[in-house]
Amino acid sequence: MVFSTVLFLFRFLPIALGLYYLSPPKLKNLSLFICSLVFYSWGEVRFFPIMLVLILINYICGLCMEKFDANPHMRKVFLIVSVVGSLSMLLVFKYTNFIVDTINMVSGLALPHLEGVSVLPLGISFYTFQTMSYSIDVYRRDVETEHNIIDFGAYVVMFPQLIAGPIVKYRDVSNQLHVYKDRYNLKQIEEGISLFIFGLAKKVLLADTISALWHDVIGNYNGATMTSMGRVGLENASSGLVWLGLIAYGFQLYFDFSGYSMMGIGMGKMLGFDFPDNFNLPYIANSITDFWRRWHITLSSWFREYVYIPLGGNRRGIKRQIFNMFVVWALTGIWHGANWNFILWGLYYFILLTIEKVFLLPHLKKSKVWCHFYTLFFVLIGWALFVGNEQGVGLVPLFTKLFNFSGGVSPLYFLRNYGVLLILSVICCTPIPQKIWDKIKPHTVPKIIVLGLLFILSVGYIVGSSNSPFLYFNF
Amino acid sequence: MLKKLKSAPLAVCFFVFLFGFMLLDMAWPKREKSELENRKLQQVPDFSWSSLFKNEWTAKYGDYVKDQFALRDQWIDLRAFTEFLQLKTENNGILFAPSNSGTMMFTKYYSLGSNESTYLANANAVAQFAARHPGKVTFMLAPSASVVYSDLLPVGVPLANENQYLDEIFEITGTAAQNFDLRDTFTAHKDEYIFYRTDHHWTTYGAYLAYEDFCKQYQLAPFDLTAHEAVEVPDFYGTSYSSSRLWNTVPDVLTYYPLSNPMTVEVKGELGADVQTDGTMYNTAALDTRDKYSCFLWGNNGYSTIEGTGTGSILVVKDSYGNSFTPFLTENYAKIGVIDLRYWSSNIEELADEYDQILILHNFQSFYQDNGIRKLNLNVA
Repeated sequence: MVFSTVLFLFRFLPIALGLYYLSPPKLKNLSLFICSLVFYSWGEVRFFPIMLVLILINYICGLCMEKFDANPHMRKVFLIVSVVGSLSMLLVFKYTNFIVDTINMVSGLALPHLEGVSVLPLGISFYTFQTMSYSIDVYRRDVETEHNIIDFGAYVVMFPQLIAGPIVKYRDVSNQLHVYKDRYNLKQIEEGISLFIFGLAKKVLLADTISALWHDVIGNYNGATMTSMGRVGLENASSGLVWLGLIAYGFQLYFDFSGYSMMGIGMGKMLGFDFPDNFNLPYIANSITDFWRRWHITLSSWFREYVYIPLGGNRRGIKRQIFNMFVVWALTGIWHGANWNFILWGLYYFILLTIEKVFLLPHLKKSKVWCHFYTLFFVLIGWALFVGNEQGVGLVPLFTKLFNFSGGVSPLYFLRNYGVLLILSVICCTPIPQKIWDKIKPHTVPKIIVLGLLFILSVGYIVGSSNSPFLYFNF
Repeated sequence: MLKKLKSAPLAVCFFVFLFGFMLLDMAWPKREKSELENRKLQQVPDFSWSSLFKNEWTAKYGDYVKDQFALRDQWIDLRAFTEFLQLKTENNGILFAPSNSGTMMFTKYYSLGSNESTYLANANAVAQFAARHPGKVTFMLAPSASVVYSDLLPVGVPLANENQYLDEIFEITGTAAQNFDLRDTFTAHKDEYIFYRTDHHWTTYGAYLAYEDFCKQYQLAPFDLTAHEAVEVPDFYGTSYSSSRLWNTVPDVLTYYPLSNPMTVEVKGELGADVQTDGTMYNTAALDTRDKYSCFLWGNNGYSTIEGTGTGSILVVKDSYGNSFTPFLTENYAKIGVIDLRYWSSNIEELADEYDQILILHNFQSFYQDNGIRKLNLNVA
């Protein structure tokens, strides 16, 4: 199920919230667990057992690590079992066919694809990282073992963050999971509602509409078939239009992903949980280093905590540090999708971040304006790598158009048609909306009017458009 | 408790709306079809374990909630209006072009999409068919309104180069068939009401101009418009309106000439199996619905025959553009066959031999997308 559907907003959400609020304190996690399982299984019923197995493996390994408290060897064995359990699911569903393709390409063999994994289980990239965080934290004795399988299951499959994060570590919510009475208060719920509506509006009013510009260029597809609107086509577009399309794509990606995260955080608050922030105005960053402190924060922090620092982080000399960065960014790339262009995209950031680390950062800090152009330019190039394998794109034609300036269909019409939306999008990438909101927030009536309007418009856009599927499904 | 809720008006409003609208939606009357969207709406899917495990039930249930959502049409209008407020020159695949009589709506297509070579295959199919019936075949292809009114289009909109495609098509079909390229005629009459503003069809007058060209070529005396009663049906909101839902749309006026020539639908197509025609060419009941254009020839059907007052016979192989065109032919022919290849699945050679003349009549939008035209040569060596 996706958030931006009528089914979710006017069936699942009210029912799930209603059951949760009405459940006696001790049963709240059970009701959350059951509703979340329905949410998870809705699109692919046959993935239901996979979730149960994953929960069981990590739950049992957690118990065993506690049982063998005095036996470091056994503790390690169970840590490995649980991590292998989580990772193998990710590997099987997400990477098998990519690995098969790569082997075939290198060796000239024709190994067959694994059947039945063409659709990824909903949110698998997110919840496998969450279960790993639990097992590793238990192993490190950073958190207590969870004894109640319902509470643990509710954490793993909790619907607000299941599809698109934020990646919530078990220790972020373990305390709240065990507060049964007065878990939430009205103030927190209201805050959650505001975040949820802003997130929804970001997703359906901005992301889904600005994406039309990029799709005018590359085409809309139903499976392999392009819709009858056709496309301008990279080969026919002028370089200016391709740059504009790429900018629109950058807007879409940010609004889509951060909108989803905001909805997740908002619903988390409605349920009484405080999830960590996931985005902090990434497009106002003044360096690539800064950008990655603002973009998908919970993923970066996961890699930092469970890969980078265990590898030695920056404590073993600069050479080792650069190697560690290389590992983290190769993994970050591949996490985003089983394709070479994502690996390329990760390594691209490895190179940029290394350059900044070695010498560029102090110079950037001196500038006030240029650092922003520099950052946005390289982030955009990053998105070009990111989108390169999408249908109707292709890395070579895309980069040729971007850098080998050539004429073709001019961006004029698109600036005209999407002009207001582009301006709105720019504004929504800056702190301005937050500043305005801070002024409105203390006044009850205007606050309700603004949120009500955004919510109603969002519903209108959801009903009025055939829903566009959420971009981050495959990641 | 009440006091507590008073301190949280936002939460109260949100939950009242969320729950209230859910309940309203559940109680909302369910519709069989959407008149505006011109399609059947999803009904409650029957539950079975097998459909659940195939993910069919959940998908259909989602469609059901979406399709039957309370105030669905109004929500769609809200979106269209918000898009308008953003000064957009298009919505949902329809381009807007202001004109003196109201906004004209054109189909937005930047390229031929996945049908890149269908138009060539179709043109070759027409040529092949015409070569098999030498001297009998006329090929008429109506351009899209956006070709005729290209000057009204928003500046710089990169529509597909239809003129070039039309040239290519006529070059191929011209080898064996008599071509009617209507671009010049329509351009000469572009100040008149030849295309509906809100629909993808030509008006009855547009069809008449094409018919007049046809008569001139074959030295026929055309149907006299002034000698016949014309019925004007106002408030026609066509398919382009349905897609774009522009709030200040000026509706079209549909004109028809209530002729009494008998028509028999031999092979049904769009017409429901339980719907009986009244023996005339016009389904006047359709004039009270949104889809008024379907009054002509009772919509698109596989094969129909009409008795005319002229001499000889003609077989019209057509898309929906033929529906408002064909009634004029009753003036000139004794028997008119009307065939729509989308609802006809066998070889048409035998039928073609029954008639003196064959007119293949399409518009470019269906011609470049419809694979059915190749059925002209079905099972022909």
